[in-house]
Amino acid sequence: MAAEPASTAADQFRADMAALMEEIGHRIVGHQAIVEGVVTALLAGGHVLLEGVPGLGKTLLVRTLADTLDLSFARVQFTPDLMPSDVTGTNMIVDASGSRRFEFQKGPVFAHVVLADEINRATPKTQSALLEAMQEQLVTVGRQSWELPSPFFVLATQNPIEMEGTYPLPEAQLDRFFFKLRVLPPSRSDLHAILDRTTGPQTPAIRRVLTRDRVLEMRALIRQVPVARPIQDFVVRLVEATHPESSTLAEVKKFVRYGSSPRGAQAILLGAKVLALRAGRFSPSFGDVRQVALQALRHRILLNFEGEADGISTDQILEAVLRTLPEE
Amino acid sequence: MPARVDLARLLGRVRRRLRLTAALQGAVVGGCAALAVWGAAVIAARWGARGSGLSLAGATVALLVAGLVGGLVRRIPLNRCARAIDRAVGGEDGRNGDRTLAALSLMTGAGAESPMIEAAIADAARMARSDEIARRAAPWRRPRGLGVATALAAVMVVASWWPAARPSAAPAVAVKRPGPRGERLDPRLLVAERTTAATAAAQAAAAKDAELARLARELERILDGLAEGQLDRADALERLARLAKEAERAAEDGRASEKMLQAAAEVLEREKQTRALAEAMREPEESASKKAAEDLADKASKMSSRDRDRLSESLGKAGTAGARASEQAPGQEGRRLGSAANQAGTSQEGSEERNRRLKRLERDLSDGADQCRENPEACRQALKQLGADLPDVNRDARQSSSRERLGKAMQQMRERLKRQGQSSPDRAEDDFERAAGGMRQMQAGNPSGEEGQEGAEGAPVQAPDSTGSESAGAGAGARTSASADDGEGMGSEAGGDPLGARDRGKGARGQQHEIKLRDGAGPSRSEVIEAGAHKGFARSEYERVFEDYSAAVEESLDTTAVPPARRYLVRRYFQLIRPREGEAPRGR
Repeated sequence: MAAEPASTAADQFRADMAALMEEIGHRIVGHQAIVEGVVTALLAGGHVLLEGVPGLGKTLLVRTLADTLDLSFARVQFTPDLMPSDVTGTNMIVDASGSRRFEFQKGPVFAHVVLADEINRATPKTQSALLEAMQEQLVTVGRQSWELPSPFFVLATQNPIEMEGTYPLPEAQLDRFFFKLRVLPPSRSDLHAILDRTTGPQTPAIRRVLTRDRVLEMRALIRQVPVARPIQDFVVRLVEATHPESSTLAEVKKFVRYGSSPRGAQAILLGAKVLALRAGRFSPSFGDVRQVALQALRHRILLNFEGEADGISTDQILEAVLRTLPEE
Repeated sequence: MPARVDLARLLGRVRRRLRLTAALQGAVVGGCAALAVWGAAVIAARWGARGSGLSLAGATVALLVAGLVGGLVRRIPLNRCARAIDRAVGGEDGRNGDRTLAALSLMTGAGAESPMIEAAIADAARMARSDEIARRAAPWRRPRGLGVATALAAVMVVASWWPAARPSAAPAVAVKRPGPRGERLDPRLLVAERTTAATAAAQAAAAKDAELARLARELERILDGLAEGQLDRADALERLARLAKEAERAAEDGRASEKMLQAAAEVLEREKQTRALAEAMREPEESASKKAAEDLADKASKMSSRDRDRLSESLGKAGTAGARASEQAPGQEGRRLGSAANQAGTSQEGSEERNRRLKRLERDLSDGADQCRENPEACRQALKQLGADLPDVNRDARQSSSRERLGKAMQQMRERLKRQGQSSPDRAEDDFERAAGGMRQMQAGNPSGEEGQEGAEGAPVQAPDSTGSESAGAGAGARTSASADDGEGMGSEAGGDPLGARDRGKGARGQQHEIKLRDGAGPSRSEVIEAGAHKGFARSEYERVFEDYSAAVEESLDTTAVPPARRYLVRRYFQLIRPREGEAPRGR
């Protein structure tokens, strides 16, 4: 059993990931953690929910990512009057050689990278049409199903402050997002860099770094990364510790109504595998798990009334859990 | 494969070094034990005892060797060695990214081998290749306590050789045995309490009631202490007062459970589908309610939508009635508002647990109502959960009378002890005070004015909230509702009604709301809302407004405008601020 090919594949993975992040960095200033989170989710095969106030570069980040990948890109602006068929596509009557027949016209969801902008502005019916496609990678209209292209990667954005006229995603649907990333305002130096880049005569050009096949290869490699039992056990205990019934932590018992689902554990482990390969290791560490835990679990924990009323955030709960949970 | 071998060798080396370190530490512990034996022998020799120096040396060596061997055979897991190596190698997180720990787990794991696993093991072996790693992972450290042991050994050597005075010349020292702390009580006087404690213990064992068992045990311990003279009167009085309070509190909780079950059962029996569950909830057999809930759960999954709606309505009403009944039970309001300051230790945990059980049952009924309206499977699950939680509440309810009996026995015992300890004039004064308290009650038309007089001893008679909760600066007996049964004695502030009754000036406007603050943190928002609902919202106008609003809210919740996940929050909010019957503050 030779370790050299695996070692070479891991080196190539690291180089490609670094190149991808560097290329995105040509256009996106700061937001290192967000970029890393988005790329991690892309390579782990998950979808990302980006949350932040308008104007922080969420949409630009997604566009830049699509530019750096040799993949098709579609953007859907979610509005209250958007219908499910506007996302998935619909059967239309076409006139061909004198006879009329129904032909399926594919919607924007049939792209590799889909930007669902302001997803919480659409009605639950339309949201669920997209979220079903995310989960199954399949669109069914009438009696026929169409498979979505692979890789299929959805980046949804939502604005946390304008809640009027919005339809917040239910917890069951939030669970389908691999990571939830919070986009924060840039620092002063980052803001200077943004102004330098965006108000000058030229905008930075982006080149394609990864092909579709390469992205699929990288996804396959991540699945091969082995996980040590103590690390996996830590992930399991971490997810268990978010449940008020099994946790020993007072904060969890007092403020949490439901803990994370098993999807949370899957997201942590896959995210940790990506971080391990990126760091030149062949197996994730406790540190990798700790690094992705917030992004993977913050939207999978449901606070109870006391938690909501006291203004507790799920990040605070998770930080307390991570602080107190022993590694072994 | 060489990587596996290298790593295994390195782990072995680190384990050996850790084992040797543990052996040295064990030897130091054994040495300390040997020094203790040596010291005892020296003292004994100075008091004239004769012994063999050889056997002393033998014992010293045996203890040293035992410590050494104990350290050597101590179990040192390989995971610990791997983590030590990771720390020694360092890396980006100062722990080598847990490479060695992961490699060890992959080497010993049952999974199939793969190039990635081999690469992980090779990587860990490469990172820890340096010869220095084993030394850095398990460095030789001076055993803890070695310095102290050496110094003690030196002292012992000097003490052994120091010329001792002849035993006969030494003044006789009267060694006083620790005697009893208090006078012994005639065991015959304690027979009644012992019987009560034994009965309570038997009932606790039969009902698996840990709280009752603990209280019975504590009472037996106090009785033993009194009978053997190991416990003085003041200690016994204090402990009995505390225990009596705990028993009373536990009984109150039980009564709240009983009231909740009764109220919920009354509502449930109005509906044909839930009648069997209602009957089972009244039965003394705990498992009956569980079985009835499970039967109902099975039936619910096959019910028509209309039947489920009726079931949902019945469960919802039962939840509301149960919640209201439990909150109106005596002692429950003060408990909720001041639980953090008012209770302590095991008692607090027990009370909180019982409160949690009530809340859980309340939530189960509310969840059942929600889920049964939506889908059969969720309805079935919710009813199963209800079945799982019902027996606990049932058990609490059944045990309230036993707890109350035990509390009374403790109180009687305490009163008797108190009177036995008083001189005759004191006893007469006490009787006079008691009589005066009764007179004042009659004058004030306040049946619980005694609380103000008996406060110094923490008498268990509780004053209602209105008799001592709001007088600013208490005279004797003025206290907050949350600490009404604490017995803190005379108040420290000037003014106020000496009997602790509410005193509002004629010109006073508005009302005072008392919110019990938690230590340092202040009340949480939900507690503030809850306190407001108890103190400020219980009036007829508010009730009318609340009804209007809650009807509109229920209507809105049934539409799709409110996401399902948020409906719970809205319902919970309205549940917290709902008016409570009979709790309107006086003077309105």
